[in-house]
Amino acid sequence: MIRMEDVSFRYSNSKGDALKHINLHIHQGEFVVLLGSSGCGKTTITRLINRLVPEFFEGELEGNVYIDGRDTSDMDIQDLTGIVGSVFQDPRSQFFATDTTAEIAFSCENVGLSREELCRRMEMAVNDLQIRRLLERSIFELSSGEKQSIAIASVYALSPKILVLDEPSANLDSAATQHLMEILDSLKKQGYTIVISEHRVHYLRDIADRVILIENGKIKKEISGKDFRNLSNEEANAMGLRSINLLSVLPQGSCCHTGEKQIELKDISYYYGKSNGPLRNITFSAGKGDIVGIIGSNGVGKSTLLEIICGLKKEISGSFLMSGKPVNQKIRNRDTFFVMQDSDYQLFTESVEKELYLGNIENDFLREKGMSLLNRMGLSDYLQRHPASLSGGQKQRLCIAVACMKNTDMICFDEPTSGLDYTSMKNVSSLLYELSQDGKTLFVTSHDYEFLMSTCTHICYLHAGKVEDYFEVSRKTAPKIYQILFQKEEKR
Amino acid sequence: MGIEIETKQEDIYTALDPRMKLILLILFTTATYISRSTWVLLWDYLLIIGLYLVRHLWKGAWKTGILFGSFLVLELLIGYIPHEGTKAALGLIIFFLERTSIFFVMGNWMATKLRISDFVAALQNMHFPKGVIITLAVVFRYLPTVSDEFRSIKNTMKLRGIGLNFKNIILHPIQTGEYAIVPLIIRSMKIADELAASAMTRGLDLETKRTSYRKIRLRVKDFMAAGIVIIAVAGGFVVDTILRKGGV
Repeated sequence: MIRMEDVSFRYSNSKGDALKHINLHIHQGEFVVLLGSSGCGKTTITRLINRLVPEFFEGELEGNVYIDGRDTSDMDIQDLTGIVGSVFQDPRSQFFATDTTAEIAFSCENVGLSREELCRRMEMAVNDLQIRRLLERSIFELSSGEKQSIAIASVYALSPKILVLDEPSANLDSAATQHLMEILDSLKKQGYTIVISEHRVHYLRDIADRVILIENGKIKKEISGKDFRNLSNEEANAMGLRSINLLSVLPQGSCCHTGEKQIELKDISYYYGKSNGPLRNITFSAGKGDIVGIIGSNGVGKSTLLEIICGLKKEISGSFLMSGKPVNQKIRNRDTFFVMQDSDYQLFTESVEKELYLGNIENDFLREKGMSLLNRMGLSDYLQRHPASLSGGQKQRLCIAVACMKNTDMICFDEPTSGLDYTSMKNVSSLLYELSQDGKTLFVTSHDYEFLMSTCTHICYLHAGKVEDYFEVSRKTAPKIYQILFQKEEKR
Repeated sequence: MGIEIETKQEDIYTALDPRMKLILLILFTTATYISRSTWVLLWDYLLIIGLYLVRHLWKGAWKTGILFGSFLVLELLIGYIPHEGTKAALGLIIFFLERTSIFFVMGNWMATKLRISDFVAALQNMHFPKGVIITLAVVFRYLPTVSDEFRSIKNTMKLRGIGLNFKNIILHPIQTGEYAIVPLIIRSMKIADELAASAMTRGLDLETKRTSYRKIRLRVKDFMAAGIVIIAVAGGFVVDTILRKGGV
């Protein structure tokens, strides 16, 4: 179905080759998972299949790519529209319509299907993927999981032969990821050829036919589905892969309690209008060096809670204490920092160096502090680089450095590990550990079980606008965390 | 069984054909530039708020009202400035602000709950060039997300001590503006790129004639609604001119 013969590719704006001498043959009906660290070239392979490389992302391509028996070298992206369906990482930027029905119909409309055929295809997609309840809704009010379902439906309606997915789970919570697995499984049973590039692999364990490990633009290893299922977490981690069997991931248990209370929330309530993610009577306290993982389903108000902690939103009632003293919004603005999921919003200047001193008055002490921070974050070689030209992980570390420049006691992180490979996830985890050793209190929202296990000291479980549970992370509580994260959507 | 989806309640108010919406946008943007009279401007402002209200966009109407109201108050205050030069300069600035803002307000009115695919189909029926259609579609697809993006940027600015507040805007207007806009542009470029890549794989570029899932047709109702608004705008203009002549 897909055949690549000695394919090499280099993006026109980069020095190194993204892919080197790839030979790959994917059969009809096969479910192939591409694994590897960020920047290893697995996304480029997916782009070769839908021809975004080299038509949209230009560069030098050598070798031949055959899709469905045809040489693609003289084909356009749109020639493949009916053959290859693509689903991308970020559902926000792959939708063209603003309502779900139009979005599902979009590809079919472009191809120029007759109206009767269009209606038939729509009906089929809606029934087969069980998304009738999502029809006629605004794209902006859907959860990430629902958006990804619509993205798949839109591709499915055109009934392509090949489905290419590029990190489709990056923005999904655990339950939605599970649902994605069920959809992919049913598509596989219908005979689709599926190629998926991923970091989180646990959900693909049971349905992968073949796993291809890519490193530095080369195929390093091919693993059969059977061997993949038998891989232990240690073996997977050694290859730089996320753990395959999540249940056997255990907490690191590196507790360092000082017992000193750093912040206390007492009866904090917040609501906006009538229903929009209200929080009621939030009460808990966290000590110096605590790393609190805030978990709960999408839309329960996790980010809102972080915004209240940072003073970006004002609580309607309740009090907020830092080191025993009540503090208002302004002081929280000054003494906290919020590292967002997307660092693009957070960097303002034209160089890494200037970014550090923004909002601070530059002096010798700060300069020294800044340099040592950059060293610690591995950014000292990038002093004059434009922040926008850094990689995602580097931008995130720059944000953390900025937070430390501020003399903050408290830093909030919103989904710091979405779309990170094993090594990067571990790096973030140890960075957070170091910050907590400095006596900072950290709040982290996350769906990433493996990350929560290796990082957090406490878990705060939000459910229906309330703190349902607050407990320490230990071997004993690990199964409970797993259960909360993976419970079915209906139960919530 | 077909898949005729029931029209939801709100659709009654959004049902005005996108082409008519575009005409109204152009109408209001140009009409206020033709006349220098504040009375005509006030009349158009009221009509625009009315357009929001008719579509049950309460929040939009409220915000628009506040924006327009503050412009008018400012204009009134400027009238009391004793120094002629300053008065003229500020008067000119407010004159342009009052009128250019209409473009954005109407753009927002049009983009709210706009069905992009209907819009694309409608423009295609009118034989617009493909490049223009795709550009317009991307713009209107992106507009509703801008406010969300901007909120995140504003939040970070606050935490970094370069907040978008009165003090910073007065003391460092250019720098503060730059901080607010640079991340927005970087984000927009990224999103536009991803959006285009996605649209390409889904055949937006295909030469075949696009079909449409929804039936797009101009109805008498559309012409009537647009006609009423056009007459109202023109009427305001005419009445103002007559009063002016009669008064002198």
